[in-house]
Amino acid sequence: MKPTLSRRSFLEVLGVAGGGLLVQQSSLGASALAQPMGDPKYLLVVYFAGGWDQLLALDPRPQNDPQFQVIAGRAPTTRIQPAYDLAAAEDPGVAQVMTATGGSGVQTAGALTFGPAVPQTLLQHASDFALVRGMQMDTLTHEVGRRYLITGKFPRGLVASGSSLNTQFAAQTGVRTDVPNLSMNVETYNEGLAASASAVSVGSYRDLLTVMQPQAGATLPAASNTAIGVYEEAPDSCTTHGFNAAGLVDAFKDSRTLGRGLMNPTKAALFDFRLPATTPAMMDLYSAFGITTTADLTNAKGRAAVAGQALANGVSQVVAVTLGDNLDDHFDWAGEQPASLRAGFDALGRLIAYLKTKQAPGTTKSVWQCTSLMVFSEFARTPLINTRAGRDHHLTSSALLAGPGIRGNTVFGASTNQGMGVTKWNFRTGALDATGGSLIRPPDVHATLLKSMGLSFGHLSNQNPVPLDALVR
Amino acid sequence: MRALTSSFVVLVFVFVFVSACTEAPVPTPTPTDPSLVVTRDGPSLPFDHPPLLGGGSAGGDGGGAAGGGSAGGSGGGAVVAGPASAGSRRLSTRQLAKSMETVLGGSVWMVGSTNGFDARTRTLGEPDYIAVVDENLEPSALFLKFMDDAAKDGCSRATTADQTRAANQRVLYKTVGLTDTVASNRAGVDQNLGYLKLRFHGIKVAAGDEATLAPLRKLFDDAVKGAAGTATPTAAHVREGWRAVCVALLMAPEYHLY
Repeated sequence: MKPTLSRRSFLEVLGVAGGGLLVQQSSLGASALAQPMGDPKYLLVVYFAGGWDQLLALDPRPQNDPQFQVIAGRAPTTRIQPAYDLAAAEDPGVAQVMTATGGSGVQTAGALTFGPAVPQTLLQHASDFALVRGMQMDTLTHEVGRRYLITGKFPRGLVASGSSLNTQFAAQTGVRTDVPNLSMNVETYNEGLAASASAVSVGSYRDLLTVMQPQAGATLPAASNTAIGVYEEAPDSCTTHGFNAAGLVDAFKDSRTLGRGLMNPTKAALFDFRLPATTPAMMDLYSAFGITTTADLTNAKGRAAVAGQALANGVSQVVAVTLGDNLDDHFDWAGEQPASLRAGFDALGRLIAYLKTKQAPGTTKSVWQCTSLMVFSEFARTPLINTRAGRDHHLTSSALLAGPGIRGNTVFGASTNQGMGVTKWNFRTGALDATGGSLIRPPDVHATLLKSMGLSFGHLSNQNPVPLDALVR
Repeated sequence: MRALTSSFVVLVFVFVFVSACTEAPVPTPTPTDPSLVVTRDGPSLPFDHPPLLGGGSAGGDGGGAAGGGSAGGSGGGAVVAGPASAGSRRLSTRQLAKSMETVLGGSVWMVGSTNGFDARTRTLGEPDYIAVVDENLEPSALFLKFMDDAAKDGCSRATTADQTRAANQRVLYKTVGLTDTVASNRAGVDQNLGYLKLRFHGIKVAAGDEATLAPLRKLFDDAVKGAAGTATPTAAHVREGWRAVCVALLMAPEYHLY
């Protein structure tokens, strides 16, 4: 068979090679190739929806320290109220941690500390994590904060600016798996990147099944599909050329191929979740993610299981997934927030453990060892309890990072001990530098993760991103 | 002096205006000559469509340039690089829903008992005017996956519906019988393929335009032979051929882009 190289393929190859050269030579890329070359790259973006409480999670304070206690009805002098005692009264999980930690509520894992809503299932992976604390969100509006961290660019009003991190990853790496970019319950954006990089957005395993299977009754015999394929390979007509001035026809054809590639009944079976499990592999999956009820199939556990299946079986190399739900607790914080956070972190911990058991193709490493991770929420919650037993929106938040190019067991930044404010840091050394340093912002976190993966963060240039070099290996 | 200057300015303005509005003469269509003519540059415009700027002379007095060349002389011919039409766009979901129903003669894409365009409205990028106010017109993989479903389901319904219609009422079998194949009625098949190309894409195929007809004929023939195997093709096998042609035309960029 005569080998063929179409003009388009040639230009694609040239573009990829040229892009690589550009990254190598650019100021953003020269020192950016942190992740070992040759290993497959995976990206996992995890969203906690509603604004998370940092005291219960990634930025705790000891409850048994008087400066964080309400004394004689007066707010703590630090204006920081962990209120773990209130949470423990309503949440057995927090109560258990309070007992185990001698009343402080702060759990220690290596060099990291976590609040009492973080379960052991996540703590066991702490040595892989880098915590970014004291990140300034610049907004208290859900949509704005969410979209700020999804794209790394501050939105235009409520409208997202730029493309999602997962879409950037798909575009820059050119992944061509069955579902190159999977997004579960996370908004996704593509501004100016190839249509093939756009996320396939689903809500649950059911949606993914719909996407990965042809519609029932709407199939053609193999011979007809082959004949259609041959017809579509015919040279473009002049009319088609006319439509292609901006590359729209090329994008259409590429997506048509990808769209058909989405339909893979064999791999769709990986997501045919039903109880009781019908195969040993599905039983193992349910066991790994603690799925025991029908509700589990669509909640955080089920979504984490879909993400795990997609990454571990080569269906997707980038997954964005919402694992934390209903965190906007302006009321009844103690009864709701710890349980919601724990469910999300538990699902994340189980997902990481699952990925550690799966081997990345072509390597001796696990999928997790090749996976970069960003966990975020749109902002945090106020350090003081409000008059409705809840917490409102707070500007100072945190993010959790991991990956082969990220230094694990590391904390970068901190919120202040007076009202959990922000302060400035030296991004190169990680040291506090209140006069000459910089505030940590979402674009800096995006730049850090992209740099750690050896990818460009040039698309963020109008946000003046500065990578947190102290976190990059 | 001031009045003279004003008069000069007005004269120049009128001159520029008249020059800019100069058009090439519009060819007069004849009743026997259909308005759409295919050339190597693609289809010509419908007879009532005004000529596009930029393709012809738009120059002023100084030997104006054609098609985007530099304008000459004091007339300042309009400089138009390429056609003055808007750039290419994808049909919206509602346009597609209406269009598909029309080209398929009333058959529509169904998901269960619901119109597929309604069942998949959010996935296809339609705004809900709560969180999303602009329709996503990107030809994404997800969009085209569902268009593939739509084409296969819609074409199955359309070809089935034609089986029960009177010959002069059929939508996809306009110039052929239910059992006609390339072997038994090549001229009829070619004519029907040209008709479908016009129906689906708005492109009139000139008689003997092998560049357009040959791939479609091969598609039809291969699908019929694939269905029939070594047997003599029946109406069911021929239906498979027209269904494949229908799906291919609905999944072509010419159908979705304008």
